[in-house]
Parts: sequence; structure tokens; C-alpha cells
Amino acid sequence: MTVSVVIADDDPQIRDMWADWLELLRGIEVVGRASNGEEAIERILELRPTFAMIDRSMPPGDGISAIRSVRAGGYTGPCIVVSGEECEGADESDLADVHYVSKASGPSALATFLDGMGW
Amino acid sequence: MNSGKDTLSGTFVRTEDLTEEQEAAVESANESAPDPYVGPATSELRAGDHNARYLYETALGALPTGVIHLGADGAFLGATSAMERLLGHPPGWEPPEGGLLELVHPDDQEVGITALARLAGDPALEPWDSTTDSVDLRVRNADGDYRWLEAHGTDLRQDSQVAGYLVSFTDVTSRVEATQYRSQFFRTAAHELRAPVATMLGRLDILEATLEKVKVDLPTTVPATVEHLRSSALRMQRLVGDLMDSARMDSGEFNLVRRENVDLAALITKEIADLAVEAGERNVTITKRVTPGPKVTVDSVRIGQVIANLLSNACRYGRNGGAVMVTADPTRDGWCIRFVDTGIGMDAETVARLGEPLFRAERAKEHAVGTGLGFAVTKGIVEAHGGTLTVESELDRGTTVTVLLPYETA
Repeated sequence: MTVSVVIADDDPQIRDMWADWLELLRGIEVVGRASNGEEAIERILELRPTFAMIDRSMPPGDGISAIRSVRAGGYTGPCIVVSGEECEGADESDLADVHYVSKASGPSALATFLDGMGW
Repeated sequence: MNSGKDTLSGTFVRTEDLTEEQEAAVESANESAPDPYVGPATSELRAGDHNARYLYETALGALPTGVIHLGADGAFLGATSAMERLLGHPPGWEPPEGGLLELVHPDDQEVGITALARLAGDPALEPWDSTTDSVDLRVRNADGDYRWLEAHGTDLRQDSQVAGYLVSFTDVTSRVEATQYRSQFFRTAAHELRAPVATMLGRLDILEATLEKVKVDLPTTVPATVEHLRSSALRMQRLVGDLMDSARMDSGEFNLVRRENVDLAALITKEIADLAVEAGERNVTITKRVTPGPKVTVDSVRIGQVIANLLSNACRYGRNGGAVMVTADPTRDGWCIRFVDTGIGMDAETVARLGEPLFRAERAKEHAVGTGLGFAVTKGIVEAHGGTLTVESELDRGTTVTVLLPYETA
């Protein structure tokens, strides 16, 4: 089974880096990219990727609201929240299968998550 | 004049040292001035000008620091004119019905109550040291605005009994605001730098993987350059982390986000390996000796950061060709981890100032680059785990940093 992902980040440099990194190093298919919350919701619900990578802060919206919307829309895949700050995500405890990756750790935290999933 | 104010004057003027003539002058000054204690300082010459009390009052009135006199029961007895000015009140001001605490910001009242209890010798609390201890509180002035005041306190003793307290207040609003501004700036800078640093690290992974795939004979400078770029990017990642952590510690928002069972020996081995390039550049040999012992429940990323920062310091302030020894031993109170270097060392004054954000000793600046943030952050992380960090150092001989880390973090 091909693992696929939608990446949402308002910073094109980091969005493209994640995309190339996932494709070249992990063979994961990047099926969609989004630069704000609205686009993220649209792409995830339309493309139903294996998992989604969403920047926590994407002005004017935020990643957590986007996850709430895709969950309401029936998307159940793992959602990775990429955050500029370390956070526990205590305020999102109602959301299932949400994982946190701090930008501070670079790709190493993402690698650990993917290893855990066997991807 | 109430007796409390007399008590205060008594502390300022040692009447036993005065001649009869001077005593008469004090009496005269006390009677002629309606309330010299709270009244404004005056340049007008009058009876008793040369007595100590007049000098003390003038000095107290002229200082930017205000003083409040409390009775042994904590009741308000009087304030200097400088205190009235500090709060923007006219002479003769009395605190509100509910007491002085009503003027303290609700979030700082606990700090004030605890400080007073310590000053009063509450046996359950750490004794108050009037020469070094102080607290910062927001206090409401006459305009209804809060100002940050730094409060110092001392007890007044009469026949070795506590007769009351003097609490002095200095407006430190600009200092507190400058610290808040610094934290905010660090936070914003760190936040903005994280994405490009993460991008660099990710791109380096991609570059390395690509170079491996092409399988052509590349000049050795290519992989070496990639390795050096990675080392620099990792260093920048650490600096950005230090900026963010320093800001969080300044604003009291620093929290440990994970608790894991960690094998300390493995963590030390990993951090030594990550520092290989930096150590190699300085010809520093790192050796380790870890006594087998239990795992610790810690935030592994944070403790990794502590080990990395202390190792990096030991290498940077070591001598070319020097040695760094890391030892870890299980003790009754937790793991005792030591970082011993044979580097430039520090004098006692420098050791005492370690941990002040942005502080760097002159010799350190000459020896290696740095921000003066890493040590403060390292110490903060160890303390957040309920541990302690101590430094012993001798100039030109080297430094030993000892971290005592409890097995379980509260």
C-alpha cells in the first residue's frame, strides 16, 4: 500500500522541504499541498491521504481548527501537528489520533513518528 | 504623634549617643514640625537642623526608595514622603481600610503574604535574609495604575524582641518591562528562526541521501562540507532552542512536556557522538565512565539538551588537545553526572554570575563564541526536574559541573 500525505504549511520553503523529504527519503506520495487552513480542509477531505501534516499556525486560520473540520467531515487518518513551539496539545484532548512534531527538532521527530507507524 | 512613629524615629536616631543639648534639639524638632516623618524634606534651616534625625528624614525623603513602617502585628504605622510620592499620594496618606494588601495586584498578593510571613519568622518557611532577599510586586498607585515595586524588608528589634518591620519599595517597572521586552523579542526571534533551521536540516538529509544514491566518486570535501553544514545547523538549532527556553523561563512558562524512562548511559553516548565534530575541531578528547544503575524518568529531549550544553561548554572552554571526562554514578538521591574539563576555568566572581541571562566572562568571550544563554537554560532544565547543578572551577585549571538528577521527577 502506498502511503500518501497532504502537507499544509503557510511557509513554502518548509512545506516543500517536508514534501521532498517524505518523497525522497521515505517513498511517501505527496498527494496535495495547502498554504492555509481552508485549503487544507478541502484537500484532505477530497484526497483522503493516509495521513496529514498540518502547521499549527497558518494565519488567518490555525491547524487545530482545520483538524476539527476534517474530523467532522469524516477523515480519520493520523494528523501530525507541526508546531514552532513545543506543546502538549492539552487543549486538543478531544481529538483522536493527533500527534505533535516540534519544528525545533527538525525532521528527526517526524522520522521517529514514521518509524513508529512502520512507514 | 503616635507611638509607632516614635518607635521608628527611635531606630533612626540612637538617642543614647546624643548629648543633652542634642536631645533637646530632637525634642524641639519633633514638636515644631507637625509631622516631620511623613512630611516633605525641606531646605529651610530650623532648630535641630544638625541633628541626626533631620538628616535621616531629609535623606529618606530625597531617596527614590519609599519606606513603610509596620508594627509587630503587621499593622501600618507610617510611610516616608518618598513612599507617598512613589504611589502618587499627597502627604499624610493612609492605606485603604482593608490594609496595604488591597493595593497589591491580586496575582502578586501570595508573593507579598509569603514574604511577610518569612520576614515575621514563620518556622514553616525559609528565613528571610534582609541583606539579600527581595520580592517584586505590582502595587496600585493613586491613578489606579500598577507599578512594579521591588520590596526589601527588615525587622526592628527592641530588647531583642521584634518591635515592628521596615519595608522599603523601589520602582523597578522599567527593569521589569525591559525583561518582558527581552523575553518577547527572544520568543519572536526564536519562533521565526525555527522554520529556516528545520528547512536546512531537512534539506541536508535530502542532500546526503541523494549523494549516496548517485554513487560517483566525489571529492572528500563534499561529504565533509555536508557534515560541517549539519554541525552548524544543529548548533543553530540549539541556540534557537536556548533563546526560546530563556524567554519561557523569564516569564515563568517553562514546562517539561514529556516523561520517559530513559537509559542515561545511552543518552550520554548519543550526545557525545553528536558533539564529535565540535570536539574534533578543538582536538578535545571526550571520555565517559557510567556505573550501571536504574533508568530515570525524565524529559529525554531536555536532559539530552543539558548533556549537550555542558559537553559543548567543556569542549569550547577547554584547551586545544585537552580532555573532557563525563562520569555518571547512581547515588541515594539520584544520578550524579559530572562533566570535568581541563580548560580555562573561571574565577569565583564568574562562577557566581553564571546563570544570569546573556552574562559572559571577558575571558570566555576571547576564547569561544557563545550567547550567555545556554548555562541559564541548562540550570533551569535541571531544576525543573527537581535536580541541582553546581559548578566548581579554578582559573587555568578547569571546571567541574555536577548535575544531581532525581530518579523520579515530581
